[in-house]
This record gives sequence, C-alpha cells and structure tokens, in this order.
Amino acid sequence: MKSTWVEGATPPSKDLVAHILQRFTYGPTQQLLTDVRKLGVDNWFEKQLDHLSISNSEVETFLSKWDMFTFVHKDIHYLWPIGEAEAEEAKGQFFDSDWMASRILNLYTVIQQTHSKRQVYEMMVEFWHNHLNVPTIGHELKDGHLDWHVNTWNKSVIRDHALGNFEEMLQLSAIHPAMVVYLDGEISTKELPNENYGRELLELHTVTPKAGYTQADLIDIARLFSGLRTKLPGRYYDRGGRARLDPTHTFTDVPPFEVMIHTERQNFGTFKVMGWQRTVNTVAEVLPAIQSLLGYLAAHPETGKAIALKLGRRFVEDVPSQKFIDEIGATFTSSKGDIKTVLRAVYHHPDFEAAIGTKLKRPGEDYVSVARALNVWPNFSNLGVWKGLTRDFAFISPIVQTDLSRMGHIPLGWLFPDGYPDVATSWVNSNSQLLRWNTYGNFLNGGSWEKPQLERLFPIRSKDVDVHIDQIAQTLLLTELGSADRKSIKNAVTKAFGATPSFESSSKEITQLIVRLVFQLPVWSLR
Amino acid sequence: MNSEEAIKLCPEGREGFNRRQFLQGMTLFGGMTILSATGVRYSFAASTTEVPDVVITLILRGGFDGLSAVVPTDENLMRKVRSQVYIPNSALLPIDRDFGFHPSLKRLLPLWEAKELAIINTVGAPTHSRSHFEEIADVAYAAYGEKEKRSGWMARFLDVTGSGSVVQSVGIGSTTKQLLGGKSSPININGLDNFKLEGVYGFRPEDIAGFIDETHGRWTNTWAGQAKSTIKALDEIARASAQKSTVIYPNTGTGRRLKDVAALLKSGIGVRAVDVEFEGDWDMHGNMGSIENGWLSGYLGDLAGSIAAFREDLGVLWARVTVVTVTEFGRRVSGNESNGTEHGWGSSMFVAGGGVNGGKIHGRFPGLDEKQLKDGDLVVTADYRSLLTEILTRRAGVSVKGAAEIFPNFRPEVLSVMKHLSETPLPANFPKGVMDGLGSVYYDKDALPTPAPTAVASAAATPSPSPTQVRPTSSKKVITCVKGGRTIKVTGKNPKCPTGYTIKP
Repeated sequence: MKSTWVEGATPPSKDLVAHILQRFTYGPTQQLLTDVRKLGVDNWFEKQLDHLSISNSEVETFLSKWDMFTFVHKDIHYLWPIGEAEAEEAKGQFFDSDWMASRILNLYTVIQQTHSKRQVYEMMVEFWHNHLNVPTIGHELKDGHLDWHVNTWNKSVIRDHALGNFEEMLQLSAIHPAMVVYLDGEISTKELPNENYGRELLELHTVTPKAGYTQADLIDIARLFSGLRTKLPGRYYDRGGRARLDPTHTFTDVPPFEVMIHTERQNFGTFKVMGWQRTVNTVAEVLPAIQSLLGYLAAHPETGKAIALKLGRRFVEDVPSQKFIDEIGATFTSSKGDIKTVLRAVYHHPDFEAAIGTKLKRPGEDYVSVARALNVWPNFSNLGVWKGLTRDFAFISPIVQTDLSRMGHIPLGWLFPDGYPDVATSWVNSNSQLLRWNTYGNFLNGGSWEKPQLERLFPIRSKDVDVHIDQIAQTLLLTELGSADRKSIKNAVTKAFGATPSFESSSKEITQLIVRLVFQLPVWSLR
Repeated sequence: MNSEEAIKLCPEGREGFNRRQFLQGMTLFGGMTILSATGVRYSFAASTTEVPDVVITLILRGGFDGLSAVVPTDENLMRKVRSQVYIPNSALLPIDRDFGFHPSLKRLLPLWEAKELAIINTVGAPTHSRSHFEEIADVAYAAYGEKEKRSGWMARFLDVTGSGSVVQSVGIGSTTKQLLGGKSSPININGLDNFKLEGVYGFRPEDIAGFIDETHGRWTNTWAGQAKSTIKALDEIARASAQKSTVIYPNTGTGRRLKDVAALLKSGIGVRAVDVEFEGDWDMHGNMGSIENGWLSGYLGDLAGSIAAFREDLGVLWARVTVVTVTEFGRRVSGNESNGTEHGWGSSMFVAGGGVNGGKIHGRFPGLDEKQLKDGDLVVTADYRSLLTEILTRRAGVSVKGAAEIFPNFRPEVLSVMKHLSETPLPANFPKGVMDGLGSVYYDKDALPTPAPTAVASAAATPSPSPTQVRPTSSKKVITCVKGGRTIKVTGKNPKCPTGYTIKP
C-alpha cells in the first residue's frame, strides 16, 4: 500500500531495525528495539531462526496456570474421553456446539503471538497455516469433525516444521486427518473420486494455475488419493452431522490414530500429473506414489515462485516485484524448500529494505500489536465456567469469540482453503476500521485483557503536556511525532481537561486519552 | 424545437410522473423544461428522469447448484444423474412445465405468483475453470480480458452513476470487498448496531471522529481515504439503525443482514447498491442432507425466507429494488457418491424486485443429455453480465455506453428479464424521503437495445463466447440514428438503430 502525507503528519520510522521488527514480529516495543540494538539485528534474526534456542518460559508459565490449555495439541483420543466424562449438558457443549478444543487453540495462538519471544517462528506458524489452510472454526455440517484434528494438525504439521523443510510439511499435510476431512477425502469414492483435495493441492499448496495443469491432472490426483481415509470408528464419523455418541462403545479399543488406505476405495493403474507419472498396482505402492508426487510438486519451480509471492506479500509489499519472486523462488527451489535459507534471502533482499511502512496491519495484527505495546495478558478472571462441566477450567475468552471474531480475523480461522488474504485492499473497509478504533478504547479499559499499567508504561516525567505527548508517541511509534499531529493531540487534551490540565488529579485519564489518540493515528495501522 | 412539439413528445398519461421528479429533471438537465399554456411543466425530450432501483446482489459463495433449487421435472433423467440427491416430482413445487422449486423454497412462491421473481437458467461466467478463488474474484471484477483488475463491477457502476452519498454503496457481512472495491471507498457493515464509534473518558465519540478525520486528512492512501468515508457515514448509518421493523426474518445471519438492508433503504440515506453475502458456504461436495433436512434444505429455506421477509418489510419501496443472486459457478450435473456434487459451470440466478418480468423462467436450458454438457457440466448459455447489464440499464439509469465501461470487452445480449423503469411508475405513496435520497437518473427507453427477434425464437443452446473470443473489438462501428429532433450514436459490430429511429447516413 503506497502512502503520501503532508508536512506535520507522523510518517513511519525510517530506522531499519524498527522496520525489521515491524515486519518480523507481531509488533515492536521500545524494550525489544533496545535489546535488538544491543545484540545486533542480524544476530537477532539468526537467533530467531533457531527458535528452540530461545526460552519461552513466560508464556509456558502463564499457560500452565489454566486447565484448558492442557487440551492444546492433544489428539482425538485425549479429547474424546474428557468430553465423555463430563455431565450430560457438558457433552452437548463439548461435542455439538462450540468446537471447544479449536477455540482454545485459537486463544493459545493469540497468546503465543503476543508474548512469545520466538516471534519469527510464530509468524511462520501463521504463514504456513494459511498456506495449507485448514480452518480451526469449522463449518457446522461440512467440517464438523475438524475440531478433533486441528490440534494435532497445528502441532505435527505446522509447528514442528514452520522453520524446517517445505516438502516435509507438504508430505505430512496430505495425509493428516484434518486435511483428509477438510478437503473431502473422507467422503471420496473409487468410482467418483472427490476432486477437492487434488484441486487445492495444485492450485493453492504447490504449483498454482500458472503451471498450466488440466482437469485430467486433477482427476488422476483424486483417483490416487481415493483410498485415503481416516481410520477411526464410525462413532467419530457419523456422516451427515456432527460426531454422535455410540453408547455401546468403550474406550478400551481405541484404534491407532493414523491414516490408512482403504483397499475397496483405492484406484490402481497408471497416474499422470503434469510431468509426473507412476504405475500403482498394490496397496503397498500407494503411499510411496503419493510421496513421489508430492516431492515432484514441491520441487517444481512454479511452487517456489508461488511461495516467494506469498512471502513477498507477507514481509515486503502487497505486490512484490517480479525480480523478488524470481530470485526468492530460485532460492526456494535450489535450497530444496529449506525455509530458513529462504527467509534469510527475504531478509537480505533489497526490496525488503525499500519497503518501509508499505504494509497495512491486518486486524488481528493490529489487535496483537496493541496488546504487545501495552504489555497485557489475557484476563480470565471474569470467565464463566461452563454449565455442567466438572473440570476446572473457564471458557471461553472474548479475545477469540468476540474481539477477533467480529474483526473477521480469528487466528487460523479462515474458512476457505486459500488462507486469509494478505493485501491491504482485502482489509480496508469501514466495519473493520470502526472495530479497530473501538478496540483501542477497550484495551485501555481492560476487559478481554488485563487493564494496562499506564503509569508504569508511560511515567510522567514532566508537567509539560507536550513533553508527555511526545514521550508516549515515541514509545508507541518508535519515531518522533509530527508537529501537526502533536497539535491535534494537544487540542484534544485541552478540550477534555482544560488549557492547563492537572497531572495531580487526572494523570491516568490524561495518559489514557493520549495513548488512545496515538493508536488512532494513521501511522499506527502500518507495519 | 418549439413548445408544441415538446408537448407532443412528452410522456402522456404516465402515472406517477409528478412535478417533483420533473423539477429534479430540470436540475439535472437545466433549461430543458418549458411552461405550457395551462402552467403545467413538460419536458422536451422523449427521455425522462426516473427514480432508479437500488441494486442488491446476494452472493452465494461456494458454487450454487441451480439443479437442486430449480429442478427439471424430467424425473427419470434426474434420478439417473443424481441418484443420491435427486428430488422426486411429487415433492417439487410446480412453477413451470419443465421445472419445479425445491420444497424448501416454498416462501418464494408468493413472489413467483405475483410475478416479482424470475429465474434465469444456465447462466454464468464465460470462464470454465471450476476454481472458487479465480471465479469468485472474476465474477466480482467482471472485467474479463483486462490485465489490471482494480475495481469490482459495482464500484464501476457507481462511478458511472452514483447518488454522491457516502453510503451510495454498502457491503453487508463480509470483510473482503471485491465487488465494491475501487476508486470510491464503500461502506461495509456487519450489523447496523455495531456501526458506531466509542469515546474515551472526557472525549466524546464525535470528538474522536473529528480527531480521526483531521489526522487521516494528512495522509493519502487506501486506509486514510476509507477512514474519511467511514467517519462521514457514521451519522447516516445511525439514521438507518433507528429504523424499526415488525417483520419476522429467519433467525440467521442472512436474515439479519437483509433486515439491515431494509433499514438502510427505508432510512432514505441514498444507498444505491448493496452487496450482501449469504452467510454460509454452498460448496456441497458431500453430506447435502435430505429433502427436508440438512445443509441444502436449510440453506434454501434460509434464502427463500430471508428474501420473502425482506420483500414484506420493504412494502412500497419494493417498487425500486432489484435483488439478484450471484455465485461463482453451478455444480456438476452428476452427483458424486458422497451425497454431494462437484464444481460445475452453468447455474441459475434469481432476480426479484418491482421491475422484474417475473413468474417466468428465462434463459435457454440446454438439457441434461451427456452430449449437451461440457465435461459433465451444464453449459453457460447466457453470460451473467448480460443480466447485470440489463438490470443496470433498464433499472438503474446506466446508458449503453456506461454499461460498456462497467463490463469491458463484452457485448451483452438482451434477455428481457427486466422491465424498463418507465414501465413501472413510481407508486403514489412512495415515501418522499426515500425518493430524495435515491435521487433521479436520466432515462431513455428508446436509447437502450431491444431484443433481436432471433434471440427469442432460438431454443437451441448457444454457448456464450469464451473470453478468448471476446476482445476489445477494433471492428466496432458507430452509426448515428435520428428520431424527431433527437440524435443518438449506437456502437457495435453490427449496430442497428432502436425502434422509431432512422439511420443517418
């Protein structure tokens, strides 16, 4: 998004370190900027790529205080008995209405984005989740079973490989139950194989239509995958609705949680997809054939370019240059999909440095950046415990259910296979603007999050209002306030608190107003 | 031209042509009115000014299956192709010899019988990619063959003829605004009651609004431009929010959204185009449910119930509303074995409103025989842009030239689904406030294309030209036609003068 502004407005910081932190974290803070400068920004970036070397104990300690986070990343065989063990009323909530396990995963994701020290890793988790999108808030009828699988999807497909290798991630995604359920492998048949997965594999996950594949290619993928279904008892997959309880079932015979090939649904013969070809005559040959196909697609130059385009949109600008796409695509292909190598190339690309302030924050990013700037943690003190639930956890935080849901940006929550859009034009609309603007006020009042400690974040160092305004703006924007903007804020303070506002009696209120107004400046919406 | 000639040319005995409209006409085309001997004002030209329709698109995202909604009554064939999702004739609501409504569309029957609802069969986009993401974007841009896709057709429509109101185009429900996005900054609402700004201690909402307006005024970018519109729209939307309704809508997202649309229209704030997203995904690859229950039946019931409630709620305003459903593609003729259908091509569109040639199924349904299909899909026999062109030209005051700007590289065919504005006089009790908000458009029925006789007589399937065939034609000719003292220019490959006009050599 290109911008111009008049003299006196507050433009984005020209500082390269601030720019790097704007793009590779969920929001820079004054403290982070200081720390990174001390370490050296290249060293910081390199350390971020080695995310396991960074301690995340603060987040882990917070999560460990709440029972509900024991659900996170657990599979169906953990979740189901918990649901069954609850009272009758709770079962309905657990199984039928609210995707409890998924909602908690959404909340967990927001907390990680806000407070994890592994910021580049968290950004890439979100990136890959959108690339291979499986929504964590399912369609009631179509994807009613997804909530049982998205937790392991998030862990074993996305989180374990977000800074690893693309092909490995793709291989795991194709046969994960979440994908099999979401893109209709579960309901495919031998005679009329379901084309949904094959289409998205080519169009979205790998080569894109630029590669020029045909309907025949799609059909062959559908035929090759037709035997794939999640091997779980019928009680989990009562077709035509949400999972229902089978009273005769006991949990002593839980099957292994894996994907199996069903012989009676599997097609055999020769499969041709673009330049790839394989003959499959036995069940044992199916998975190797799938792996070979995915390897072929992952290595295809168009796949590299497709991912380069998305990385460009994420970290550089809405319309990345062809040069960027070609160069990063070539790095992707030559490194065999090594994500760290590709990210280094993005970081060092001249287009990156030139793109200061050209990205609009998406609503969820704006939301998290405010939480980071105010250094607040979720407020779970007022949550109602669900009726009928015996376990000691509170549900559900308005962070996901209300705030981000209204903004249309629940993390990992895009309903369609193409992932959340990542260009400004998709997010610029009045509804979204009003929600964002009101959200700034909500943060200051506390509610979904703890009330911020403004006096600690923005101590009053001078009785001069102008000085106070400048300090708050510098802390939040990492740059100097423009003269016209300063005047607008000063006029507002005067209007609300008089020409000589009293810091003795209303310092909190004055600070609160200034902070709100700094968030309202156009520059805050950029990253 | 003298005054007597002018009086002869004036529309005679037309109901609803009142003084007020006349004066609006004068404002727009100043100097064109005269005073007759009796003191009654008359217009010179055959053309008039009219209060235009509000154009409402209801987006059915995911791929709407026309064959499940408007079902062919060839029961044997349907059973053969749709073994799992087939609906027996006994369950259908008869609307025509060849088609019946799905029973869940029951609430649309009164509209059908009142001829306020029309169906267009096997209509769709010229492209056949079966891809959601390409098609839904292309359908919204409607600029096939253009390299740069910067704006949706609805935005271009309002660029051509808008009311000038900040709320002239409104999106309801979605956060991505392909259809409305363009030069202007459309207003997008998710619940009228949510459309407000909250203050902070000591600083009122209007103060915050003023601050935002002032600081965003220092910037030029998409975000700041939108912010200025958003601030301007706050008061207008508050007026709509205050509208009350006693009509009971379905308790669904779509029901609530259409209720909001009705409130917008009733408030007279100048809304000219609305893009409403049906809440839900029509991409039914499997588990469609039964005839009475489940996914398909529930959605069709919601669709019918929401439209019916909307019509009831609007009352007399319905005379100046066109609602049209839009989807990215229809679905494969053969059902799959998962009680669902795959992506296809041709679908059906529903058009409802006060200016519809309703109670009738339009379009050229090619039949379901294998050889009549393309890769198993119903062929698109009418381009959806032809229907949209007709809505815009006959109901919304867009000229032929304007339509060509809105839909570039496209030659529309006349479908005669819509009545001309001049054929549907404004009811006498149409509220003045709403009329003022809508403003008026220049309207000349004779300047619009009329159906070629062959198009009506032909029953055979003529597939719409694919985008590769449709190019910006350099072979276009311009002719000049004359009638009375009026001269018009007609552009086309084979341009013909409209009825009553003669070609000027």
